[in-house]
Amino acid sequence: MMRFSLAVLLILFSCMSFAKREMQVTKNALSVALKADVQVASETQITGLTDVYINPDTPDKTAYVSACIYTNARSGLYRLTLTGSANQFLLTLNGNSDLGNSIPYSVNFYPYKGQEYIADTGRQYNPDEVYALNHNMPSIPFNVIATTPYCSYDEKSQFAITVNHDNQAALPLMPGLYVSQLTIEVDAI
Amino acid sequence: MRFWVIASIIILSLSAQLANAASNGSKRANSTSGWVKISAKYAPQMKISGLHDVDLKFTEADRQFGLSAVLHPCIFHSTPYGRYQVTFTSAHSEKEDFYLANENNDKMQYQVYYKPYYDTSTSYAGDMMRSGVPSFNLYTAYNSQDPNRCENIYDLSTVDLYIGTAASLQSTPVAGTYKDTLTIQVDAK
Repeated sequence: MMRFSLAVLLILFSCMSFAKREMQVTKNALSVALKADVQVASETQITGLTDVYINPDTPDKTAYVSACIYTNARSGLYRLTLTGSANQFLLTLNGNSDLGNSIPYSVNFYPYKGQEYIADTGRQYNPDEVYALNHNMPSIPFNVIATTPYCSYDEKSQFAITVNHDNQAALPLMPGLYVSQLTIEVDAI
Repeated sequence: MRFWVIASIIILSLSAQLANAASNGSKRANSTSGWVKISAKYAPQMKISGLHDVDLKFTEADRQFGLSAVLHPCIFHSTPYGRYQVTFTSAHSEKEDFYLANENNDKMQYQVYYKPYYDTSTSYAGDMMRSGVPSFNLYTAYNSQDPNRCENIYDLSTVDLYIGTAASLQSTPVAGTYKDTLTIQVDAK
């Protein structure tokens, strides 16, 4: 009983003090400075990748991988590093490098038109220029303009993957499916 | 119970497909990576080499034993121990028999025996072929990696051509030059 009374007294006291403050607010102008400190982190992403099949019977023996390289920065310099699953740019029979037969492939990079210049040289991007990529070696820096993670067709870069096997010159290959997993890494500089 | 088995199979197959599909990079501050799967399918390859024209002259002595000629084609298959079928077709074929024909279309029958290189028996001439009819399944082996490795006699098959027999040549054939084009087709199986 004693404890209950004490609690009631405390509640009444606190209500009175609130009422008193309200009165103060109505009497005087109150200024409140709100400081909003929202930090947006930089983001980088590569999207739009799809698996590709190369028909070795076609004259160019090439398949194209489209990629959207996205950043929320106004623009930024990036490097690409590509690695193949066999620790080389190499297609292996059923993904098994122990089977002996393998087919090398090469990768060329076509930056999209928004990637205006190549930093190391200061040159303007030439849409006809192809940049050959070496295995597990960072590419020359290139510029990425801020866009959305969902690029339009014109905003996509392309990787041209070409099988380097001449049926006429080289020994014929064991028949079967030759595969490789190509990892594309994008690093801000 | 059956429903759950089917559902499990579908889920497993879908997850397997997802595991194989390309992967976009996740959003990260300065670095990201995605990957694509590259594949190329190579069909079996076959090659036949070592063929040459056969030019025979009929003499009186051939009445008793008939004329014969031997070819040693080299049959290449890009799969070791890959199965193949061989088909001989005569340009003057009649009822699956092989014929030569002269300028007046007088015909002279001949026979074709095929013995794969791995059949080393000396008493057996090989399988008697029918024009346009494929052989049983045959095998290729140690010459499989190099289509040009055919100079070794042990890599070569044998095709025996018999023109007439002692019995069939009791009467002199009509004079003239008898010719045929024998087509040898090899199919991987």
